[in-house]
Amino acid sequence: MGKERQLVEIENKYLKNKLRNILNNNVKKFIVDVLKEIIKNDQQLAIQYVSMLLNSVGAPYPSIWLIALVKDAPEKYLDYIFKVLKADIAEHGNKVKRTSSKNVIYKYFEGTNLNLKQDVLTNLLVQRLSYEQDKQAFLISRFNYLDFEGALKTMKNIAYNEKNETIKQCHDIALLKELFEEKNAKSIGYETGELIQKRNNYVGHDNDARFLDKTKIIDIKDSTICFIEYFNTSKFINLKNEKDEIIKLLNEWEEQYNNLPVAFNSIRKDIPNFVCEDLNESRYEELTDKAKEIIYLTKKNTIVSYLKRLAIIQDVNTRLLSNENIIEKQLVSNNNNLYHLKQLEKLSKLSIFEKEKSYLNNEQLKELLQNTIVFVSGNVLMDNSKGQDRLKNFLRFNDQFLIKENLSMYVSTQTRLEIFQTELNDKLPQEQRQNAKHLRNILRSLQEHESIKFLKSSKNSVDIYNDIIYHFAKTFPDQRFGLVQLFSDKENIDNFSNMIVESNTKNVLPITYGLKREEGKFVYAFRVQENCEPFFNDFCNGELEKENTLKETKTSDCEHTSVAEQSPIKQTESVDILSTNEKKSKEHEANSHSHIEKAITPVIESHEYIKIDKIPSIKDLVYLSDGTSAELKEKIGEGGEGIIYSTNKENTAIKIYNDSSRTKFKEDKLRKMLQLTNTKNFCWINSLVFNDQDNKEFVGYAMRLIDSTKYKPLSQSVLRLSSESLYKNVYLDWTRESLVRVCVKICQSVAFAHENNIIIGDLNKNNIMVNIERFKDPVLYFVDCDSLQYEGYPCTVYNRLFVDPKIYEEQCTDDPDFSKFLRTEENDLYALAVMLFNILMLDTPPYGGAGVSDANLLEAIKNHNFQFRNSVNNSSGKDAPDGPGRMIWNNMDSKVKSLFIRVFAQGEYVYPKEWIRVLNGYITQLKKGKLSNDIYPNKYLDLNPDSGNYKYFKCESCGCDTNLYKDEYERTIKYKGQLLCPKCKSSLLSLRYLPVTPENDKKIPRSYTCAYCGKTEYYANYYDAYMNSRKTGIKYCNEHNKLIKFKCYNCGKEEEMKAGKYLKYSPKARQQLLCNECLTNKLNGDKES
Amino acid sequence: MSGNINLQDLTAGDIAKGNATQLMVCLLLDTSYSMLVNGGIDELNKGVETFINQSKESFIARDALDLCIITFGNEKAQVFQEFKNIEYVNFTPLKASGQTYFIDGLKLALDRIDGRRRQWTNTGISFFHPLLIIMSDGKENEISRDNDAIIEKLQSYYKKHLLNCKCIGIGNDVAINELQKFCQPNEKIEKMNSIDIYNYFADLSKSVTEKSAQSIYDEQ
Repeated sequence: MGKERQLVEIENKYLKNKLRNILNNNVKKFIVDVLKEIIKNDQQLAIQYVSMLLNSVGAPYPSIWLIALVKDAPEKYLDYIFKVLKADIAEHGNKVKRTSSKNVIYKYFEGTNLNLKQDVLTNLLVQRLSYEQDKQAFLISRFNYLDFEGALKTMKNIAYNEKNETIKQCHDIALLKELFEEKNAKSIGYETGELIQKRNNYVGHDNDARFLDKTKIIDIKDSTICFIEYFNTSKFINLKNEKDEIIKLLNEWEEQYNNLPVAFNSIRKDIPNFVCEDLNESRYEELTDKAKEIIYLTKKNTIVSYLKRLAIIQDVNTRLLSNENIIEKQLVSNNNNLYHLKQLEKLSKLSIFEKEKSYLNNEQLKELLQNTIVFVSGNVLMDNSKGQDRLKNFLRFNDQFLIKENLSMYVSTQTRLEIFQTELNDKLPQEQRQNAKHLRNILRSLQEHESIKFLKSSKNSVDIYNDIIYHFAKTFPDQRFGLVQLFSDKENIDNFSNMIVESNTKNVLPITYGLKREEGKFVYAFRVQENCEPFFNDFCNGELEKENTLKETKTSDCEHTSVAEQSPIKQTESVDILSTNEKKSKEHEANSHSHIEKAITPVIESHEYIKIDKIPSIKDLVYLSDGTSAELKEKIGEGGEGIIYSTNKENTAIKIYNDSSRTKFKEDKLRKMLQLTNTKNFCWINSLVFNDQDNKEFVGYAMRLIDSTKYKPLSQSVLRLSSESLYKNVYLDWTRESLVRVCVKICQSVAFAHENNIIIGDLNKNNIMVNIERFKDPVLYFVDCDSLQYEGYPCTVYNRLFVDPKIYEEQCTDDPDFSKFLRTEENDLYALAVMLFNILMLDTPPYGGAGVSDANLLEAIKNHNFQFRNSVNNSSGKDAPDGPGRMIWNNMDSKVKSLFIRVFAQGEYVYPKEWIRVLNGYITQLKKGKLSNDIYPNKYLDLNPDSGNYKYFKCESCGCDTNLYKDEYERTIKYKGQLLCPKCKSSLLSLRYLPVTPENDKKIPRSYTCAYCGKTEYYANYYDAYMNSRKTGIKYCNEHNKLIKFKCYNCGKEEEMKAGKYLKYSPKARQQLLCNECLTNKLNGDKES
Repeated sequence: MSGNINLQDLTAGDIAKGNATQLMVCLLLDTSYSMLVNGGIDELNKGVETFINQSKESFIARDALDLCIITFGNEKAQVFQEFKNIEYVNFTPLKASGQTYFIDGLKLALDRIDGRRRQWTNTGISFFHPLLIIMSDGKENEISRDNDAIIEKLQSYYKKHLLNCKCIGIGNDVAINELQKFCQPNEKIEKMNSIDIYNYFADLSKSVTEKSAQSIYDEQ
């Protein structure tokens, strides 16, 4: 087909057909369609045509629409779209200022291809920024997701623009600060310095002092950041004369040494025998002019502490020998097992664990601080509810104690930012701002003594727990953490402890800070919470024993040397824990990045079958890749790929593949998977299994054996709870809370998988085994791990209900070949949402309500026709499927619902972290009794029982207690209907669709006799029959139920009457009939007389 | 129909219990005189009873299995048991006599399956493809009647995946060719002696239990 002809056809199809409407309603789909049609052939033409198209229909802001497309269009069209977008910006840039357009950009730029869009986005933003009021906030918050370098560049452009007024606003600076704290890359140091310099030229007030807080920078080892530090600490705004000098000086250094630590080295060369600790007043005179300058310009403490650090780096060997404490400090971040065990032994001997629930005295606190990293939650510092006392108490206590004992605690940078924002916020009371300022000063002074250290927290985190638990505790499983939280009531403490236990972070110890009574007075103190056993239990039980046996075999000398050997390696790597943390997380990022880039194309599944002599079966001996052998005992499972046997080896099951599944591909994949060792609740591949001792004939793999009497797949356990028989017989103790806890566990597992580059792929209800006895603290395992997607090896199986509809779109087919591409984390997130929905809604799928059959179900999924009542596409709740789902949905936590709506109605993705947060909130609500804990609720959700919005009554049919919305209740009373509980109501409505059979006729007679002619008639369905059977009064057949008009004998008004009744009157009487009004009047008259 | 009737009792067995995906099974059983040969009818009774009892015992199948029994013999085809959740099915042994009214039975079966399908679709309950199990010796005394129309209807159902069918020929001289017309194109007619019928039903209850633990998509 020729291009022109094709275009004409499209034109006919779309343009002439009220194009504007189509555009407004369905613009994305439309443009994607057009693009798909025409881009096939000619790119140039495509661009022209899309531009023309958009202009001709007067799309208000073409570029915005196109941005909206970026997310929806297949990858290969992005190039063209960006070209159009660029052109559009050049032409229509000033149109792009509409507020809603901002939202479009927000929404659609997240998560799309970075490289492609960076250029365009920068342009667009610069355009937009000259119109938008909130440019910095917008820019920073958005760019932060996308591209930091780009953000900085743009920021610079704005900063250079002297006409710009808003840059002076304080909150911009707070945001900038936050931004720079997030990323402390080397190059940014220079950029920022330059930026400050520029800003300072025209802003001319001391915001800059706040802009970059020196305290922050100490944490960051990256030398170039010091550049900024010097600007700040010199208070160059107050010392304007010196400013140029400093800049000159720093520039010199920069040129000479590239970075500042080297500069410090130069000082050391200048001063023979220089010892950093000795840098005090008496040694000051010995310093060179340059060094003097530094000391003059900066605070002494700062440089001393900084040099201390340098000294640790340089002289680590000598120091290691001389100072045991420092060795230990060094090794805290070391993964040396021996050291850890030593530390754990020490930990378990701490006096804090001797008495449970006791408050800590100073000695104990000291112990704790020396042995763990203690985080202080923001609320300990920031609590304003009870005024200043608590705050002062905390700081007074810690101020002296910490400094005196040379101990340190950790505080989140987020907390510091909050304090800072409080200080700057004009709207808050003066007193509060003063307090914040005071607090900041105290923190600063503590920080100078290294008694408070700041931890970077991720920008979007809700609170510090999440940060610590997910960011640090999980990244550094070998490190021990204490987490201090100020408590206000018992419930919060429990939640706090539970949350830590639930998060499976056994290295976090919950500590609370609150009032205790001492000699009749209330004082504040720390207390170690319950649930602290996991803190060292698992180590003591498992690894300690293991290691102890190892130790026994070694001599004590060996132990000594191993520490010594380890330490020199460490010396250059880390000074304190935090810098190691940073490094590790950077490495982690780098790794995950390289991984993503690496695994774009899947390993193609080859059909190279491995031929073997005999498939092993019961009683046969097989050989494991770890050198051991095992005997197959019983068959415990059978699937499409092979048979699973129990073995004589403890806790080991072996899967033996059948001929069609035993491929080279499988073997390679399993070998790769074998490399991952810490796999938590995944029944991971323990070792490969061979037919022979030489490990040549691959036959299967070994995995953890789980007890099949206790563990059942979700599909046969939790998801069946809607069944009363099963519920009453097996799962009586299960509550809604148990279900939510199962969900949390699954989220945690998915998060864990994603952290380890595992894509679950075929996440479905048969692959998760749950312990049916553990309803309070569910335990579950993911089985079938050989089918997971690991690195480049795709997961080739699928279950349609769990397939992300985006896959159909991306693969352009309804029947994608899962071995030809790799699934993404997002695909898993969709499956996760379906899984959670299925669990909470008792096996109700999210799509397919009344009127949706097998045939159009896929369509419903693709169009996000979420069937339950929601604000997006089903506000009336019509067509939601019958059954328990409706009531469960009604009773569900609104935040959980909104996440489901986001996934199923709006096609968004929700990450496990968010799910866990919201689900934990749900658990809290359930515990408080605000939401129904019933598996199958039979009442409507009444959040405020005192308001009287819901009327409570006993069901007239089954007698259970239930409720109804007051309007509906009154309506039912008014029309003399039956007051029914939802279950009975559902039964009643189902009568309408009950097939007509003789048996049903017996139960609910459909027949009735006409009062006039005596003819037997039938109601069309059992619902009508039932409803009519409850009505008293005369019934007529269809013919005699018709209305006949007559004139009132008295007033002549025309009225209607049922034919049956009318015909009963004699022809004469029919002429004297009265209308209702006259009849009532007459009757009243008769009575009176 | 007066006073307050418990609506949940009234509809018991006729609305989906809980949320289980419903598995409709329609047994179309031959109860004609020929089933008396070699004790066929006794085996059939034993088999069906075991099937019902085993399914009732299984927690998984109990909620999902929706059973209808239609017999043809005894001078007419009749609905022995309307579609009901298995828990509400009471089975009394069948008696064999008279002629074979296979086509009438088939019509009844399709009618009941369609009715139930409509009911589930309208109330938004998910269900697996209905399973029709035909047990007959295939000797039809009215086979020449309007069977073309019914065959066409059946085949169109198979094509649209509205129905799955299993056909079991009983006895030594089964009219396989006749029966084949009523089956799914690729389906092989199982031939069994009357003695095997019992085992067949025992196996069936197992596979029904397995099936009800699946989701509707697994069957694609």
